[in-house]
Amino acid sequence: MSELRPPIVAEWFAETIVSDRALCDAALGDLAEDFATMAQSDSIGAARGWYWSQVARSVLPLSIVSLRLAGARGWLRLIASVVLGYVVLVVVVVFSDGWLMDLTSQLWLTSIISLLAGAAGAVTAGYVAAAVGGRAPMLSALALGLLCVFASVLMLVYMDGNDGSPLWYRIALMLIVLPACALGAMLRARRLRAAAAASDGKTIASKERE
Amino acid sequence: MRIPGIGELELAVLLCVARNGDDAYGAVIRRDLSARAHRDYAVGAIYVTLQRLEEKGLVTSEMSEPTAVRGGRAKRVYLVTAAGSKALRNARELASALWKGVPAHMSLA
Repeated sequence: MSELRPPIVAEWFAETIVSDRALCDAALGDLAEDFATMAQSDSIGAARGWYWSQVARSVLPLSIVSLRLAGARGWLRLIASVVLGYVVLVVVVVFSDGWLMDLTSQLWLTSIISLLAGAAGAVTAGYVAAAVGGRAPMLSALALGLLCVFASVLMLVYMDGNDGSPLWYRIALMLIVLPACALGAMLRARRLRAAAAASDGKTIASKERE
Repeated sequence: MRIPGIGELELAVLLCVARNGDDAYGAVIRRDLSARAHRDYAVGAIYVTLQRLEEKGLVTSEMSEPTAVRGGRAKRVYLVTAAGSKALRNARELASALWKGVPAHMSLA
């Protein structure tokens, strides 16, 4: 029976789309129900593909549902989350690059460490964007990731390699920034869920004592 | 009572809610609509439409108890309001009025 569970990463990603627990439960419960039916009638592979497609296609509409519930404040927080996340990423990259220049003069080693620092910075920035974004944490993180990809493309086109970094490094950075931002939002959602579960456990325990 | 206007997808979702009675929740509405429209609708598209219908006062919703088949998650069950019933009647009357006079070979499949 355990193999009829939706893909764990997709479910984790979907749980990050909205912070509203009732909306999240309703939508994910619907997906879990249809996933189980499809896994039995078709195949587990087809059901997994369908689940991923549903999650990907639902990011924007479910975020809109959540933001509409919050009103203008929700949209303002979305914008603030992207701006703040971008500032965090820039600060991490500037500091790590300064530190790397003192560490080694070998370009390939500098590029690899810089890439890892960039990925860690994007995860941190995604986490911050999700925290500030409030109602639509995944949309905040993905909007930040897309902004970073857009900025990277602009730099690639207009700086024409004059920043000294190799081409593979700049392309790799562009490819990892979006999933890294999403991972940051997912880590934030997991932390909140763990805290909520612990709080629920304490409430139940105190009711049992009464 | 002034009935707000509704779009094509809103009308389709409202009809699904009406057809499924007390059992109209996200998964049932999505399956019903997808089967009739021959298109796999995203669950997010269904919820954004249901939210618009709820804001217009055409449906109401309430959460049910969690079930094991849904991974321990609750359903949000929808019901058509009096305004929703009126909106459906209006839409049907409008469609009938618009189809009047159209040659039979164009109106029949």
